[in-house]
Amino acid sequence: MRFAAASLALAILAVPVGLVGCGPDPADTGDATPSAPEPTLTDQAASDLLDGSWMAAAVVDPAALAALLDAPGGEGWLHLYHGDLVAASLAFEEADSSSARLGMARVHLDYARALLTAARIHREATLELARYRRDHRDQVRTGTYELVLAGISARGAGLEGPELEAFLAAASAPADGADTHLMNGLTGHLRGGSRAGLPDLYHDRLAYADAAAAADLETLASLETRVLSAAPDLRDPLGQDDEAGVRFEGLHYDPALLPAMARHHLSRAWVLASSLEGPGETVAEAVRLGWGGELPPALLEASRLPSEPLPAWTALFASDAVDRADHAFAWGEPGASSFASRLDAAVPELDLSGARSSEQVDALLRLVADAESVFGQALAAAGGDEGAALVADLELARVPADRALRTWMMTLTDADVAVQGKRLGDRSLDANPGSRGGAVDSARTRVSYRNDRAFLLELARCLWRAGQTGAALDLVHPLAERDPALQPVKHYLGQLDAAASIGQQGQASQL
Amino acid sequence: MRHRRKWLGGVLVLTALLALPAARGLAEGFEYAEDELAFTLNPLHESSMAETRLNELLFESLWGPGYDGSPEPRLADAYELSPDRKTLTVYVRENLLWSDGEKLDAEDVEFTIRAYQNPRTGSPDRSRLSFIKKASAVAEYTVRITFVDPEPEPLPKLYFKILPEHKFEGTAVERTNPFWFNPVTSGAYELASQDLGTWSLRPNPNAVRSPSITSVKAREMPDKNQQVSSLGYGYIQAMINVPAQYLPEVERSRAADLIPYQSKSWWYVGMNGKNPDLKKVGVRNAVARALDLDEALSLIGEGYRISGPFVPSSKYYNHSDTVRLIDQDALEASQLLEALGYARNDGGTWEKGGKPLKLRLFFRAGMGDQGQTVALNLQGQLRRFGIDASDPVAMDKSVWNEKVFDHRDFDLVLDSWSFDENENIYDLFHSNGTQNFVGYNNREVDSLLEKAIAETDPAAKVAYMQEVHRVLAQELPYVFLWSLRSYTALRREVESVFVQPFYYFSQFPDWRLAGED
Repeated sequence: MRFAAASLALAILAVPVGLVGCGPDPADTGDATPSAPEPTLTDQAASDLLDGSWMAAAVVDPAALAALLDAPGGEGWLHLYHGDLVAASLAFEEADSSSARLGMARVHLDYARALLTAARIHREATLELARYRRDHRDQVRTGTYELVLAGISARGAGLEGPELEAFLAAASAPADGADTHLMNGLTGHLRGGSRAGLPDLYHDRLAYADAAAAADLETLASLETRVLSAAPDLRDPLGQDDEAGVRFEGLHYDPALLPAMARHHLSRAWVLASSLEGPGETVAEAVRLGWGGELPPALLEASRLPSEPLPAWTALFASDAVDRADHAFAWGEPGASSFASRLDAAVPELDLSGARSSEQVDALLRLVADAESVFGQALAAAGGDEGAALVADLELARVPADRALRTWMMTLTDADVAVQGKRLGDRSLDANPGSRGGAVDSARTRVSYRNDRAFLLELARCLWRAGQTGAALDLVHPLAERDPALQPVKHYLGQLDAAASIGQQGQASQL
Repeated sequence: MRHRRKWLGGVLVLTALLALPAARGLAEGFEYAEDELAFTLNPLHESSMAETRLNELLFESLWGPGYDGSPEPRLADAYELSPDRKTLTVYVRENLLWSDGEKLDAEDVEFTIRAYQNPRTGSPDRSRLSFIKKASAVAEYTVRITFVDPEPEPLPKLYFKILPEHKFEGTAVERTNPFWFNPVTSGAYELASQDLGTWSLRPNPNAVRSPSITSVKAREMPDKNQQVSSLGYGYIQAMINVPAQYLPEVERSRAADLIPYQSKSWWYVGMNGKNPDLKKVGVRNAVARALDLDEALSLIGEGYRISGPFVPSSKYYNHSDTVRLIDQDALEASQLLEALGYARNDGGTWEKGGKPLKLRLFFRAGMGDQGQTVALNLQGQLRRFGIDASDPVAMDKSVWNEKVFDHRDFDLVLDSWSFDENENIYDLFHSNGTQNFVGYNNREVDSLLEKAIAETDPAAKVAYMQEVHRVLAQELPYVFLWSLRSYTALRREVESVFVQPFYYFSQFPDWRLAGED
């Protein structure tokens, strides 16, 4: 099957025709953006900002995009556009071409980014729960292995200084009724010694993490299926209520697994596409940045497959990052120029990077609302008719608008202003996933052409930090249903949500 | 079909909007649409989300949810918790006035607590205040609250609205007390007028938190097409709940933003335990198994089936293999009824002792088109199975309160519940629960709910609640239906918007309308 850029647009468009073809609609009457003169993005500034973006490249050269889609496994790019990573990997796996390898690498990178985001929430939530239980010692039940597990969580969360020392000191206290063998295994794991005595699953997961650190792909492949489940590493008994027939347990998920899974994906992306002529450099950069340290020799020495040259921008096609620099920023390159920061610089009248207050966020929302249409015009002007059709049909103007909102959302979350960050995240959330096609379960998972997994998890983190843990769980739960690796995130957020309800009764109302 | 529906919606809107202010460039105030209007403005009798939202604009509590959900002072400005955590001394802000100019002081707080707790008041929130043993105004602006048990974090429990003592003659405040339509308020707004289908508010000159927006109207619009069109035209600034099928239209307008509205809500069919047939667990299970709930759900869009009284993402939802969604199984439903001595008569209807299994089905009018669609579908399914379900009847809030809550004069009711972050189902399923209108009575569940509320370890609390879920999934006081994802829509000229989970308008005083400064 041969794809052309226009047919790509048709294939992606699944908007119900009835909604767009029935004449004037009262809902179209006017954009209510306030009329007061405000700093806006000029056409020229928008063009300059998007120069070098993958959207501009695709619009200027739709033939190159068509070639990407015409190559074996090309339909995988359509699935990638929709965020349907399962279907995309199936399509790419069956093909043997440079573009399919690139596509498969992109799938791995998308998984890796989501897992790294999940790992961060896991670390932070585990630590917060450990602190809660420590600070409410007189209210919580004592787990047999709780103190040593808290030490493992605290260390895994990257905690340093006296607080870590206190956790570690407490971890050394003997636990009544503990299985000595298991206790030795846990202590060994905490101190970097022997892990003998740990339950098999826990042991295998740590072995998997070791293999991931060394990029030992063979071992990783042999362990992958075994370690991937929603089961916890350990169930710490917290007592029971015989009368009610209820047993209480503290579930422990080690913080090592999620980063290891991310590294496994990064390793595969590296092998598949880091040597590709054109886009390989971008893939390699993502792997280096996402790895969190020096790449292991096994990866650097991994055999690189010969390839056909591809345009460099194809490494970013259908990604949330706008261009190469923004991509590096997304992967954590210190000092990389994010698209949001450049948008900020393009409208110097607004201090966007310093926005913290509600009024400042209002201004930011107004700017992005205006800028989206300017982006669309700039992109359409850059290409011919076919390119302009792509802009409209793929909603390419949403990419930079969403990207700016999401970058600022994360900035505000990290700056402890998550409440305002939430407003930005809400604006960029695709409320109607599945409306343009995609995976059959997209409405449930919320994954769509705009909502990639990493964003949904970042938004969940923002919501949690904004005090809306239940709303965060609403995002995480459907993802965890599909991907058991996310179960720890769901579990720890759920425990924190329950902790917030201790002693409260709350209110119920009819809808 | 779709074209016609939109066109028809447009005509309805044009007709309805003749009564609205002329089209304008900038909003003259904030107007929002509710499917069903708040019935009472008395917080003591608040039982619907429309009432919760409106009362958030009219009344203040001692403390209220801040932006991050943690308690922030409203009418109170300080407190002292005794070392044993059993006594809280609350200092009410001095020099506060009610909207009628009367002084607001500690006596109002004491009165409010006693009114909530008075069984003759019949407040659905009575049990929320059961943790308070006694409240005494010990000085003009000082209230001493004694707790039943130690309360380590009592402030979030003080979110109930404070009422003006001078407007009541005693602490037994019945639903018919005229305060419900003639309130004196302490919140950002006071009532300006009540017209058919509209509550109009104006700023309360004595408000603790003065609002930026100069007027608010809550409008009843049962027709979602009308809501969407009114939003597009700018006749309303907010549509509280946007069903899934309307999301594309709202999204495409670009005049409004869709914002997730967290209210942890789920739908159910309540089965009256007073009914001698529905009193039997087997019959309730048969009713549940007679229904194809996926079919019913598909009629109203995307949603998530539930097996118990929580949304699927809840920490309390029991996802274990022992608790499963009930699938339609007519054979099993038949076997359950046969085991209880029921048999089909010549007409195919189940009967026992010559008495047909006949059930009256109601739904709350506030469920709108979606409620009617689902109720009709369920009725058809029950009839096909051989249960003589009546034509579903919509009940407005006042009838519902009387027929369902007061007299329990129903067999099946379709409705939905929404919860704040605590997801408190105690009052729904505890035998002494204030909202247990199905009359469910199970000592095991009572005990589990009591233990869950008293539990101070989060892991153990989750375990208790998941056990409650497991038992209720078997006992089925309700047929648990589904949870729908909830979005609200707000026009972009409304700025500094922060939609509070469940309460919606908690931060409304900070909201602004562009051009109305």
